[in-house]
Amino acid sequence: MSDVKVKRNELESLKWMGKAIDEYFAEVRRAPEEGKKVCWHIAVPGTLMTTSQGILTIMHAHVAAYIGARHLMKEVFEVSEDEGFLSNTCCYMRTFVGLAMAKVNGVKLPPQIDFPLPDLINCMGECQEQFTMAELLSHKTGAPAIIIDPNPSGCVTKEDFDERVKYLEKQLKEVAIPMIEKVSGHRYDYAALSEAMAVMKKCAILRNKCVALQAHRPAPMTLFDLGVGLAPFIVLQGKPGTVEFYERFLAELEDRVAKGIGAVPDEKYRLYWDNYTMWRLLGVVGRELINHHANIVIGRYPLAFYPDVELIDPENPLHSLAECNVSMLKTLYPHWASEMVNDYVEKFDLDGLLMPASPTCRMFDIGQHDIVDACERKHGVPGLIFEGDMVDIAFFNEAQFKTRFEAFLETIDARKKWRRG
Amino acid sequence: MPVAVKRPKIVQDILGRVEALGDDPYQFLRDWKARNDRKIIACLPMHFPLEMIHATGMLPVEMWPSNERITIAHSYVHVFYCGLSRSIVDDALQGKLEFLDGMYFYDQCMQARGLPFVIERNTPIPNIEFHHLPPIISNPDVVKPHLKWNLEKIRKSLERISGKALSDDAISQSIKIYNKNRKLLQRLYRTRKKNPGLLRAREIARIVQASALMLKEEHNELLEQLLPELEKLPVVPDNRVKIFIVGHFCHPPRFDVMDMIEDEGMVVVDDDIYNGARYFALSVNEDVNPIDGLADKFLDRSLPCPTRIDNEVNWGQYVKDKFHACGAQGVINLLAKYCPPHQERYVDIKRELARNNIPELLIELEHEAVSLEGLKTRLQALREQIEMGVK
Ligand code: SF4
Ligand code: SF4
Repeated sequence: MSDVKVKRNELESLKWMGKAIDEYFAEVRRAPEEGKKVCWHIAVPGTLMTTSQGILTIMHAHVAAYIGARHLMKEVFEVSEDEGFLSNTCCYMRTFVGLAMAKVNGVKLPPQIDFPLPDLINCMGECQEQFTMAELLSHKTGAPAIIIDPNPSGCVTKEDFDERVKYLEKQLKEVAIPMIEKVSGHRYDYAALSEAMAVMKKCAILRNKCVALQAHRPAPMTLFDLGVGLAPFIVLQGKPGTVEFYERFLAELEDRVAKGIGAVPDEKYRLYWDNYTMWRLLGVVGRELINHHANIVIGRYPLAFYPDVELIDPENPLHSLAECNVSMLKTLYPHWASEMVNDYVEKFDLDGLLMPASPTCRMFDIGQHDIVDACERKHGVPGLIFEGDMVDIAFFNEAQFKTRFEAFLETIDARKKWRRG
Repeated sequence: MPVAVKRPKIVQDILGRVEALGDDPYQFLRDWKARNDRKIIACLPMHFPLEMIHATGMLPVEMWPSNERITIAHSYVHVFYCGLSRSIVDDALQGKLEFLDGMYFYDQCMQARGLPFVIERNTPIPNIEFHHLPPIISNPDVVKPHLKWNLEKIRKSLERISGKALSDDAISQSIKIYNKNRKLLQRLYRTRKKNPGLLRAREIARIVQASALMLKEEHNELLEQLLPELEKLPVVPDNRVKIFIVGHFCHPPRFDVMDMIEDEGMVVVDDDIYNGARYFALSVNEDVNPIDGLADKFLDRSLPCPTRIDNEVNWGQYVKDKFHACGAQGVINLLAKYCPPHQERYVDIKRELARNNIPELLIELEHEAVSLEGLKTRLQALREQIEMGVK
């Protein structure tokens, strides 16, 4: 294991987020004694549907990342293995269903990851595994499940897009809302949804300004800083303090840009990261990156959260939610992703693409080879495809990664020289 | 182990034909196209409304895995994709599918979702399309209008590719031909149930697979020749251990493994695989508008599919009930390696079977070699467990 020889510049403003999440999770844990309802949410879109109604909501990928980053998966994976899950099954499914089963079976979990069982399961899944996860959770915990389909698959024309939005809005109205009303015991509060959406919109505008600053050399943050700041789009949507957080975050980044301070000292390589943030690997991968003065400037996943601010319309919340979600999920499909990555290469002046692929998740890795190929042809920018996983370290080979990563950086050096002539 | 019944030449010939077809669909389809001068459209298996393609005069075929090693595809898709998806890419990249006039994909599973992008970008095959067939069917009333909208979109696409209008009447005619095929295959299964030693599991699966690759009228004709001959044969008592096979929801089975199950002294009495009973389990209602009929079949919740989410399905219960209904003594789960939809449902299937002391064996099958020696030992152990009544 290599030591950290170079130190990353930490962002002061991000510290608030850790505290806010800890406090929120503590509130979730107190929910049963305070008579509040708990929702286990699956997928990126749609948490707003329940968080805005005072239903304390945890989200599968967020919880899995929390567990992964704290190296607490072992206990949970043991439970899911006992349940019969094969080890190459979606790691988020094994984590989330494992957590539920631990509770159902009375297995003692570390207090940080011990959440009350759900009163409601809500899934607006962008992948089949998410739908199945909702189904399994519902069967195993007895909680009712909302499972709806926001996917833009097959969208080619404007007519397709409009039909998908119409379909999603109908599902929100006819499937989701009646169930939320049943569980919460009161009529759906559209005003509360609008208010939360308005707050989220302010956050999204500020977040997009933060992202735009990444075009500067050196980039003021890493993609993973942006990932830490995602909670206002997941479970802290509309919460007090989130806009102020983004204001402080933006101010700190602007200050860095003005002073020429980068997240990575002496930034040498500017890279793109495909796929989810692999929190469990961040220690190892992060060390390699920083020691080579490489920064992950931009990526696919953190920008899948409400990037099209013009579509966020608090006056017309359900239609707007539908539109935002169909639109933002497009980046999960390789033909759109390919265009987006090519744009990023120009906009963020990238030197290379890091393309992690997880054998337990098919979301982002379909078409990765072609995305790299398209980029090589258009910009001469190389890509490195390697196996890893968001939480299951068993799928990552550290020694192999280091060797291949070093060779990848050499390729980038050679290409840069070639481009300079 | 040969079958216990002596079968007439006509039966042997038909079985030889379907075996050869399954072994080399490429040559069969090239020849068919040359003979008939008609277009061929390949679709992902299971849920695509093939009747609509058939109604245009084009031949719909369901995609199949090759029986060769996958090579070139591994530079385009990950090794941890299921054999079927990797094989489709491999065949397409190697030019083995050059006779196709189009390929239709839909949201069957996550792996299937990206295939059109890879194939379109790297091969000259025309008309690579992705259509949305909703993956969630828990609320049929909400889903149906959207599904019908997508079926109409498929109609437009077919009109463009075939160059002619596609009428409701033409679709209704094709539905009748497809329903007839389903009835004939149901009859085949009833015959096998009465007389399990009549056909090997491999042979049954090859007959069904041929239906997915042939023009339905031709397959109907084949069945109409085959069935009376089979029904004439004497019933032979069969004391082998009776097995119910589950799995391979879209991926055709490994035929060598099916042989091995029977070579180890077991007989397959029924199945719940796609190249088996699932293929013909549901018919389309002929008494309603054909688009409604096709949509209703898609939304029929009586045949659960792991790629269509229906929150009310209890997979453990479903498999257990099927097992009891066919009088089998044990269950073999055939899992295509890296098929997430199946492996996620396996959790409940395994638990329910274990809770009811039903002997069960999971066989994970890869496109590449499976250790047949190891498998043989596991099959023997299953058989002995059943014979000794070990629970
Ligand atoms: S397969 Fe991937 S995208 Fe789907 S639920 Fe699992 S981790 Fe998420
Ligand atoms: S075998 Fe499974 S993973 Fe492969 S295409 Fe079929 S449903 Fe998808």
